[in-house]
Amino acid sequence: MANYMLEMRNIKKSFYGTTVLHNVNFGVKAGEVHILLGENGAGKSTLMKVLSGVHRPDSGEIMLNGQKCEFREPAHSLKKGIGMVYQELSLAPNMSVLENIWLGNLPKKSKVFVDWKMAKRKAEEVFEKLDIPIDVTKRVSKYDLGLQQLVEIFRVIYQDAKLIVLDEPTSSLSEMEVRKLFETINLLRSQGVSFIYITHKLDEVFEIGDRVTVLRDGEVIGETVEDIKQVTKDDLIKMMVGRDLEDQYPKEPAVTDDVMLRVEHLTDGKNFHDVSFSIRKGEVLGVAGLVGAGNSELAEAVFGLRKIKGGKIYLNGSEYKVKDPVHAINNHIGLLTRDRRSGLIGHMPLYVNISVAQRKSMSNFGFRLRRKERAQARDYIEKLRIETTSENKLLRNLSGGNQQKVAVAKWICNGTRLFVMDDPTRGVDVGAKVEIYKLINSLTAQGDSVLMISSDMPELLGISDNIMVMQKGRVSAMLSAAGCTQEKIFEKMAGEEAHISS
Amino acid sequence: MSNQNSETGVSVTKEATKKQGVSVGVFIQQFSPILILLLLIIVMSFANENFLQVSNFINIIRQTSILGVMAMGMTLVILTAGIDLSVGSLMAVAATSMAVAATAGNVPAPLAVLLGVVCGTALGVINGLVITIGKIQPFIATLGMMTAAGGIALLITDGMPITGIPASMLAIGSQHAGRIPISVFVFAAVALISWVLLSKTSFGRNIYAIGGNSEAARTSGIRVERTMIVVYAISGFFCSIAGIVLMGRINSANALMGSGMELNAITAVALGGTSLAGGFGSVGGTVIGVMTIGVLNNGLDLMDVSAFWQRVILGTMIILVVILDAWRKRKFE
Repeated sequence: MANYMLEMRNIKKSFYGTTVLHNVNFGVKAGEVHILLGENGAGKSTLMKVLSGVHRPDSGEIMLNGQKCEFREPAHSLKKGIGMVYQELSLAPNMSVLENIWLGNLPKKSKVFVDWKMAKRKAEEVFEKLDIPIDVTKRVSKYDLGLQQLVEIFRVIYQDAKLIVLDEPTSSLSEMEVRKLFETINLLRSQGVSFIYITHKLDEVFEIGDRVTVLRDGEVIGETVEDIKQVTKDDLIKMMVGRDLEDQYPKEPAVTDDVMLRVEHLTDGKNFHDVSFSIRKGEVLGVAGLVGAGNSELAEAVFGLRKIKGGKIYLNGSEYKVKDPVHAINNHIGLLTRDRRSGLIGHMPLYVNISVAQRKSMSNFGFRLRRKERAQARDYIEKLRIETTSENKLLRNLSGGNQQKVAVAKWICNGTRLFVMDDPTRGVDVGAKVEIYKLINSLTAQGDSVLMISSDMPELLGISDNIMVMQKGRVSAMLSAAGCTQEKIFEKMAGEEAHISS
Repeated sequence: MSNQNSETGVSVTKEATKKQGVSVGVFIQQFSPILILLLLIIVMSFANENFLQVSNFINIIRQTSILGVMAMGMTLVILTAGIDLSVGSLMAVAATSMAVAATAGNVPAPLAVLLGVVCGTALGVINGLVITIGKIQPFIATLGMMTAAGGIALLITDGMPITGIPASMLAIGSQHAGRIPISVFVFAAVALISWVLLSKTSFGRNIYAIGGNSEAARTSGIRVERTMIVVYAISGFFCSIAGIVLMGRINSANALMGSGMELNAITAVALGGTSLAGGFGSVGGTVIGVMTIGVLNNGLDLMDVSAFWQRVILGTMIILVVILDAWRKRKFE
């Protein structure tokens, strides 16, 4: 027992009568990457919030280096060497990389003046060591999400954290940036820094993890897996979900011969150029690309959120001029946004979120038909198996997977035929992913089409009929999903860069 | 009253009670505006025996009806996460333009009133256009409008009060129907219209959606710009109505008649529990907020507290309410 740097013993926590953590035991050794797995709602974030001092446990104790600790607030746990990096970045976008890294912790000369030279030197050192091309004096918002995430991690490290909690750090990173992150983790691990690593991507578990703990319904399932090589992905899924998932990618092809959407030489003059493709009715066209490849922007452009500089779009054979989202909706196009917060209205009830995009059928001379809205929501809750206490529940109180189902319901109910989905299973747990895939099947079975942008390669291969690969704003390949491999997609995605990392 | 009006208000209560049982904190959070008002009424009635009389309450409603009408427009604006600092100036432009038209211009009273209302509403539309098309923050855009429209009102009147306005135009602000002043009915009608708009129409739902998350509103096919312009136009329209009432009350119109009203209107909305960040709040809340200000002023008057002290007390209340709003957000979002 003595070799744990951090030990959480018999942690119990309940909120308003609902027990969220039942006697959780959890230990982290010095210099290890400890993977914490579990579906959404399993208690991972509550456990981490207990650790960081956001929540107090009802009972149980936290031992840090053999000493009993009680964390009052995040600043306190940080002082004790526990740093948190959350999914949502907490950088100051208008300040430089340098300032962000040292925020609140700038090195001082004679206790008063900021020692900028030393701050700069120390920051540059690390980036150079890892060969990350970044100018620390530039504003942090100039860099894409991936680099920002790394900056966030370095910030915690510079505060002398000995244990760093990473909550789904790769969800917005490109393949390349994931490599950099892993290199960083490896380097720090060899220096004795420990990590608690929360993820939904099971491939990462085996790549970076030393030990694994699986949480389900607030309990540790079995015990911490001491040797990661003794378990398989399927074992882990079984532990997380509590049952076998017969098939992670239940694809049912339904492609017809009729073309739904044809895009020719589309360009926005900035993010994507000369993009041509077509989607048939019942087809799922996957779009692969690194961050910055222009695929999200392409999705926004088709939906009318972005101005188009050139090229043409044909919808069901006739030309479709992109105008604005209202025009897209009237033409039966719907967009599931990459960030659920920019597509769903978190502070409003579930039923409003489902009916909000119906421009005509839910009102009578401008007056809302609330009873009809509610009835419709109840209908979809049942049909799509949305887990909620009622249709009045505020959307933001639903889990990620259920929010995504609401997003799909919102577009189904107003007669959408072309679903543009930007990373539909981002941050969604394994069980809910399968349900979303089944939902996609039911759409294509009716002859609807799906343009699915995804950063998840197995998903692209498992769910798409065809895959369009984009690289730096241009289409670099059109592949049939059957017989395609991850390596092939990656090669086309990264182009010449692929050789450096592999 | 406060919870049945608000889309989001209802569900917060339902959700909160479901999750937490009946918790005192939630109760206070949800009903704090009305609790503050009741507390104030109790304190005032102990402090002065004349306070708790029907005639005094009619008086309070009469005194607050002008503020109430403006605060309704302000509620819509603040729900979209905006602010309208120009309400006082728009009111002055509307009132002075109709007064000048009817006196110096010899325009028939109904037409003069129409002209004034159109002017006030048009300036509201300009607010909306500057904010949406010009992409200027509402605070700055309406601050500019406050100054510019204030100047317009001075130009219209040449800096002089306009008197000799036809009696028919003054009736709304000066006449009674039985014991009850007509202005009270005007306030009630405006409040009712606002309530119907917010809680019964798609337009109202769109306002809540935009205020809480304008990006999501846009991707859901809500015409964000159009809705915002209409909201600022409504604010301008309500200001014009308030101008007619005030004109009748003071029997004249002048360029400074609305100065300082914007802050009172914002205070009323905030006291009513509407989030200044948008997306959460209700008409009922604002009615309570307006009444709170009215009760405070009236009670302090009866207690012979000087107008200077009243300002200090009101200012303190504004700050307390904003602290409450911040606390509410931290605790429940």
